[in-house]
Amino acid sequence: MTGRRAAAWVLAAPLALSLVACSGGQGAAGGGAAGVQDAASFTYAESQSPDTFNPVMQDEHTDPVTEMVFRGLVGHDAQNQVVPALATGWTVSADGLTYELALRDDVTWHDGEPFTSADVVFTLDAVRDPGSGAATQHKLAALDSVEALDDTTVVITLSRPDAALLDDLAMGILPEHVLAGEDITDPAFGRAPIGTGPFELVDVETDQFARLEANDAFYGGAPRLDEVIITYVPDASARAVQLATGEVDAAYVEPQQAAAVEEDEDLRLEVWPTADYRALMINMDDPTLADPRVRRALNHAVDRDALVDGVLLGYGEPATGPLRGPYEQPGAAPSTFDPATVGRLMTEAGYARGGSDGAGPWTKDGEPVSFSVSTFAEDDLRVAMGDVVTTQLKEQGFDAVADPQPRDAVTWEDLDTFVIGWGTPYHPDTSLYSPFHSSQVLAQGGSNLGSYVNADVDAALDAGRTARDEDAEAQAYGRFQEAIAEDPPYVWLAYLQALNAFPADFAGPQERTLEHHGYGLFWNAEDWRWE
Amino acid sequence: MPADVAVRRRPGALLTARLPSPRPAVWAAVAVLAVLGAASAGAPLLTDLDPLATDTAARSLAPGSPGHPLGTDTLGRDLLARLLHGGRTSLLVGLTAAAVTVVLGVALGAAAAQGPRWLDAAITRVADTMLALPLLVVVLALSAVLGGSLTVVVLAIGLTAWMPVALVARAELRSQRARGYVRAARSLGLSPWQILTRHSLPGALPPVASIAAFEVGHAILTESTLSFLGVGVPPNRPAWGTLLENAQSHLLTGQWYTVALPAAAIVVTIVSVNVIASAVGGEQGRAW
Amino acid sequence: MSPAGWFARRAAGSLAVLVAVSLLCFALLDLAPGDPARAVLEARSGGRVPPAAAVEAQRAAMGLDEPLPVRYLTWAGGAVRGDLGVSTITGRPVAEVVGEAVPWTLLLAGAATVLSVVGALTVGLLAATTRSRWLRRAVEAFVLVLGGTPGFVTGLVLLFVFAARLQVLPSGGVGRPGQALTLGVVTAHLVLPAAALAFGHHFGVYVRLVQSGVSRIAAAPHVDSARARGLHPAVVARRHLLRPGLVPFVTRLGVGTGGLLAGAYAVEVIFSWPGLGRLAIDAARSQDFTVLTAAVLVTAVCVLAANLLGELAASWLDPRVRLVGATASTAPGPPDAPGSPTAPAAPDAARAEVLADAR
Repeated sequence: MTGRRAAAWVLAAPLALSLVACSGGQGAAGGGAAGVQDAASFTYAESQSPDTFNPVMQDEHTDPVTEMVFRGLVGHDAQNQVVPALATGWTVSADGLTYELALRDDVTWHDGEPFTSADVVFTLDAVRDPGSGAATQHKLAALDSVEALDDTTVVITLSRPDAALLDDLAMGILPEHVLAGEDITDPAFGRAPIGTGPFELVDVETDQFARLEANDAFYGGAPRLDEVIITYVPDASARAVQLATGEVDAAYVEPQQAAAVEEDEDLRLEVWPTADYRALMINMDDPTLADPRVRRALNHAVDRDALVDGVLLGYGEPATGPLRGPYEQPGAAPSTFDPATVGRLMTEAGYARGGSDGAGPWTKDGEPVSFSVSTFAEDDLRVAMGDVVTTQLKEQGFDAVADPQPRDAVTWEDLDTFVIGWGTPYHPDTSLYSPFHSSQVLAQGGSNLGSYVNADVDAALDAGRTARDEDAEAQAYGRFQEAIAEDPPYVWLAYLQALNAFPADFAGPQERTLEHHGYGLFWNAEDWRWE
Repeated sequence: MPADVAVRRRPGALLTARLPSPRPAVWAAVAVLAVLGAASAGAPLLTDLDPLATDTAARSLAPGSPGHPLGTDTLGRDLLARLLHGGRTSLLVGLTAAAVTVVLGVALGAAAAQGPRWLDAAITRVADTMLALPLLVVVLALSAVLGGSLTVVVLAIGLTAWMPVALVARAELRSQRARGYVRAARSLGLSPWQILTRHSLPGALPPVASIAAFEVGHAILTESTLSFLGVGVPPNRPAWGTLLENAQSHLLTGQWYTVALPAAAIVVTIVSVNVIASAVGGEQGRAW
Repeated sequence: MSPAGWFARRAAGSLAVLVAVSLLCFALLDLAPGDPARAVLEARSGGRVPPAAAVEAQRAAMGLDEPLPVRYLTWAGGAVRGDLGVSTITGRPVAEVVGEAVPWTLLLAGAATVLSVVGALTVGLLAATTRSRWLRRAVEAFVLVLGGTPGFVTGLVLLFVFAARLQVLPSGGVGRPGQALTLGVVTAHLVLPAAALAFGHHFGVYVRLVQSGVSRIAAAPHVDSARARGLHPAVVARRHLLRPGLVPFVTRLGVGTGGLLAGAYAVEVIFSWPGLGRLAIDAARSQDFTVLTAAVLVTAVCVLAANLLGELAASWLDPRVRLVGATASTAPGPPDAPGSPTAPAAPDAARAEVLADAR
């Protein structure tokens, strides 16, 4: 890295001069040349480099580099089911409080040291230390103790049953021999991470690129690619240009660029589902919006198909609730676009369309239903969704005003509604408990930003997190979905799809439901290859 | 000095008198600005479409589509309506920010020229300090931390652009001091305030007017850059810069007009303003 | 004033400016509505709202619960020793983060300056010396349009034409990741961003200054007399026209660096150039105040240095341009004499005019 920086300093002076001479004919030098494409090197462009490559500092936003460098005790397969990774298997006690995990004995860290149970105990204890500052700390809230029985056996004891624990143990394990005595959030480690994954990080330049080389000693077998390069290109147009010219092999693409990728014979567009939904969060402190009938009416006033077509250009799916995958109960929360039902519910709630022609806003006691639709102004997609939803709600007689605000200016208490994003492809508890449980309301410092309180929802969520078998879980989350259908906390909008362009002759990427913002793409990078 | 008398009675007369033989370019620029200004001001009369209303049934229409003469964007918002309403925001910000800049600049420049020595030193020193700063950075920081709103953008531009106006005003006023008619006024016993408002200030007007006109162009440019970088006017409020920012990812998708239209509006406005500013300043004035 | 004395005064002045800038940064950031501690926690949890207690703890850990003057003095004490602290978001030393970005920005700004000087000299001299009315008009129109075009528009157009359509130049970055940065590779990557920056809206001013500077002097008596003395036209051009004629241009060039560096912000984003601009914008957005403060300060240092260089160069070109003191107010300047065009009578006004669009 210092080499590159030194090069920049040295180049700065003479280059300025030579440039004058070169600017005319320099042309193709570093340009479109697709010839650099080593058979086993793969370059992927995304928008921004993460702040750190430390897995315990990334809460469900595991970036590609961290994803490839680290492995957790467990992993997820293409169906997002928990599968063995660093742990080969586990047994759970009948009371659901004791987990015994058997570890692989053939794993080495990227620096050659052997991986043992001591690394697991170190990582879990360090993350759970109240002062650690680790972002994943909340995942281990139920842990009581972690012990190593021998080099390849770890016993985890819980203070209460935690149905999401195994999913949460997919978090990357850190090397004790590197970090012992250090802060686990050490920024130096975050830039030069050492893991047990299929690729090791060899070179990183902030805001430019990260270069990874194959870890031939990877326990799952040597990766098929020799080298993976992640480049960081903030401008979406520039990303598309680089893709078209072959400067990068693959890239994250925006919906409006999808058509160009599909026309390009050298590229293949991969459209994968994500668990990342957008919804209109409702502040229950607003007396008008606190009426469940109004919130149900709002849910029927949104035309989700038009939203998906208009904002996502078809690259999304209508959302009718916060769950998808095995736990989703189709039809539990029907939220079809239905102006007649809007009218019925609003009339029931005591509202009437105002104005002389009966086309004015819904009004009760002379007060129209009026609220703002806010969101993070920096997020173009959310702003666009807010704009479309505002227009749709207006057409159905709600006096909605779009009001995006800069992230730093958002004060949750003062909002009426907000285009929010949640969702997880893993155990539902992770993305249901904090936004919807009454113990997590904003006033108590939690993430229940709309201050939504519903006793049935609380009971169902408590039952879900302590459920000890799949039936009990399914039952609990079924009850949850029935409860929110009656008393919707949000206006559900759409699930996003993740769009990625890959070279036509590239194989390996295997579809699965991705995390927030399409993270989790590189989950089986060790199998990726050029054909 | 008949010219000075004329100035005192009709300050505007001097501006027109300073215009060199009315070149067609200048009149063209005036006409362009008048049309843009009128169209923006009268936006609600010219189009009954809401620039914020999305229409998912009429997305990405090309220019010339029925009902949408300039087409629509990806959310089906009418581009003509957005351009016209965007002009309202951009021109409003440009003019207000320029007004703030000029008022602030002239006030500080006058204070420096007429006030006590320490005040003069203080003002010029602050001006020098601020000139040494990459001001877009300061504006960026200001609007990033204070949050995007029209007021913040206007204030940020005004607070970071007053220095040249102040320095020009101060220099002009100081040079006026030695002029015969100012000396005469002083010996006639007029108060400093009377001298300032009746003689010095009108005399210093032409260069200040020229620089003020440039400030309008500068303000529009800054506003569009800020909006492009996402820290300018609120993103759902149409302004030329935000239109560009929204459309930028369509540069390669064949919908080039979503980028070209607001870009052209910005360029044409600034060019016109600058042509007029150069004319007002006379050939000896600053470049463009 | 002796050059040494002049330099000492200017250095002291620059230091004062830097202190003022850092104070301004701190005060501004303190007034800001956002909470850096909250921003740190949100960045770590992917945007989730952190519990109030965690925010309090983070504030204490970041020293944000100290009063503003204490924080400033702590920071300034470190800065004097070269310790700019650590990034609040990534925890990396600020000096390292900024140090990585500075050379790239200098390279970009340097190349852009060279490009615009060469371009402005060519076009400006052409316009000043040509007898073709048509050519002069064309130059005027060209310069006019560039003068009204924001740098980011120029950047987008260049990206569209040369990288996307013609595909003759790379679209961004400084080189291909993982490969050696050879002169050729960096140059190729440098062309588009440097051109976007060089031919942005300042270019028109440069051309016009060259043109007006040279053509005004061409009519001056001393040039006529030089010609009459039978000096070779080339000598006349070099010694009597070019050198003094370029003084306003060179002065403006030094002052224009601030605008250039600021303009680099948008250009760096469009061309994914890893410079100070991108760094500062990212820092402002993520409320990484330590990095933001340092980026602004470093930019200010560059601008101050460029201003000094511009003045030195101007005085070398035309010895009549005196090196004046720290501020405009100290410039003596005769009251109202018409003076020669190269050493303007009212230095304040001339300087102000030159400065006016220097942003």
